Amino acid sequence: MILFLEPYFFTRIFFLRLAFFVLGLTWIIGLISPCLDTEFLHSVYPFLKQTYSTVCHQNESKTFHCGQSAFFVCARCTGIYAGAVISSFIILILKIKLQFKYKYLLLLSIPMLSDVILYSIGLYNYSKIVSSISGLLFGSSVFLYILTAIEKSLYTKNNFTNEY
Amino acid sequence: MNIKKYMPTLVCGFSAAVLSTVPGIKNFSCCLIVPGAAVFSIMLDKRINNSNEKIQLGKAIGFGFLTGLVATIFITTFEMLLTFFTRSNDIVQSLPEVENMMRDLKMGQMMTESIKIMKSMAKEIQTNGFSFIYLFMILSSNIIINSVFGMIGGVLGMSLSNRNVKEDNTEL
Repeated sequence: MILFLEPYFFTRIFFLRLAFFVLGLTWIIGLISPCLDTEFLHSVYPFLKQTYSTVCHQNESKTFHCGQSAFFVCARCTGIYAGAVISSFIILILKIKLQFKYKYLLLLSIPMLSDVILYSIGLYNYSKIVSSISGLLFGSSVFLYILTAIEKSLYTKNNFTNEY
Repeated sequence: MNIKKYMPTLVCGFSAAVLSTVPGIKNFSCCLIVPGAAVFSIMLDKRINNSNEKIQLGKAIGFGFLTGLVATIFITTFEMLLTFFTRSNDIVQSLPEVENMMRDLKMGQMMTESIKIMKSMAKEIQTNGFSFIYLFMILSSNIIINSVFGMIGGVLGMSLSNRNVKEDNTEL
């Protein structure tokens, strides 16, 4: 059953969702910054490359390109972060009470795990599209699962009523 | 100081740092090492204390943050030691490529300064095996990224642990 949050805008839950969306968007802008025409982002290119190297192998053959420039993370990681940002935007504009269950997390993780295993054993060649789509499903499910846990903790703190 | 309390974060943070230095594993697991370590530290803490209580959000975030911080300290130490002994690292090796890339972007004064800094850093590493700029670069990026990813892992660990608590209680 879908429960709606009333009031929703300008409550603590709304600002939490907004914060996640803004942070996610900033992270995405950073990883596609080689493709953006801004002097500041280009001048900190080595620092950004180093920063994103802590979370990704940055193998160029597995990375999306725009012209000559490659993103700072691989196709799978791009999918994971894009999934998190897309779902954070959708959940921000929907006023529903989030109830994302563990079984959905498992279910949506299967495509990425299968892709990693099947590609690693050599059943098929690496595909950026498959990696990014499976990553997108995984990223959105992990994000929604984590957000559900945080929101649930906030509801509990407020005895399920004070916030609304 | 109760060391037992911080033992899971130390063990898991150290393990994450060791795993991050193994090239094959890093390629395979991408961004999952530090969040995974935070999840394990929450689980380990529960096992050590033999607790069946629900984990609170604050504690989960704190555990994740600490795991990320411990991982950062060890990752940076390993990286600096490797750089010192080999007098080279990924940044030094990829500098010509990065330089070409930056020149292709045809940016102004800021880019020139940026290349100058990178070149002086590479020179210091090749001659002394150490550079303060490099230390600052990896330390700051690792602190930010690993702390955030550690906190994400902490919340994930909390959710997974609390799910088990619910199931245990249902069974009872």
